[in-house]
Amino acid sequence: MVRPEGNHNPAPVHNGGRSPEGAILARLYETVVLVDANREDAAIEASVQKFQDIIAAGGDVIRVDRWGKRRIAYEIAGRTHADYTVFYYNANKGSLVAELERMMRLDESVLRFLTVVDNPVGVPPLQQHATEVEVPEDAEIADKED
Amino acid sequence: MAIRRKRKKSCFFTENKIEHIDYKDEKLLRRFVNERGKIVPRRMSGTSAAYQRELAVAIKRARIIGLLPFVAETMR
Repeated sequence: MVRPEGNHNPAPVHNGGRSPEGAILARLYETVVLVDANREDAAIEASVQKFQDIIAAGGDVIRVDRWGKRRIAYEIAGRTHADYTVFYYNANKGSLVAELERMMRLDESVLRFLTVVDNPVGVPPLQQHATEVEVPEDAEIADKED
Repeated sequence: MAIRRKRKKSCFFTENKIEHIDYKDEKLLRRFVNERGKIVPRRMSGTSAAYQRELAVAIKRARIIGLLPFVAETMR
């Protein structure tokens, strides 16, 4: 395969998170989170910020990509749209991811999340991902509207 | 065999010097998925074996996070 230069994070090595000397190394993580698009923007932002704070507490946030609301390819929990956010961060091998995922499971507005460790793709250049702004109300869903 | 074999001689990824496939790159991934949402076989897409494996993983991840469908209805 061809290897272009100038990658933000060099291709990670799978060695259990340790350097040759045995010191604990930081790993590159990326987590994609889907938040229910029917929620109020403020609530969505609050959730995203909450996760970002958890990450920052246990590691270094490299970048947060807010893709915003998009149409999902199939219904998830009866919804057709979700708010996408991607967190890129470095952290040592430890319990940060477990803690982050635990918090995401507890949040009812989180529909999906996926965490990838040491993605050889690394942190990609900024690009446009948001496709739609208008979100139709999913009528059959009994949202907690107050 | 298939009626219309779009036989490609070159691997898209080696031609375009793409090092690794990003599961978040829906636009790229869609090229390798047919109308039913199924992954296109190598003999159709011309993809090399190594990239096809990486591609399959990326497509499956993209399906999980809702960027690609697992099954899609064909447009009639």
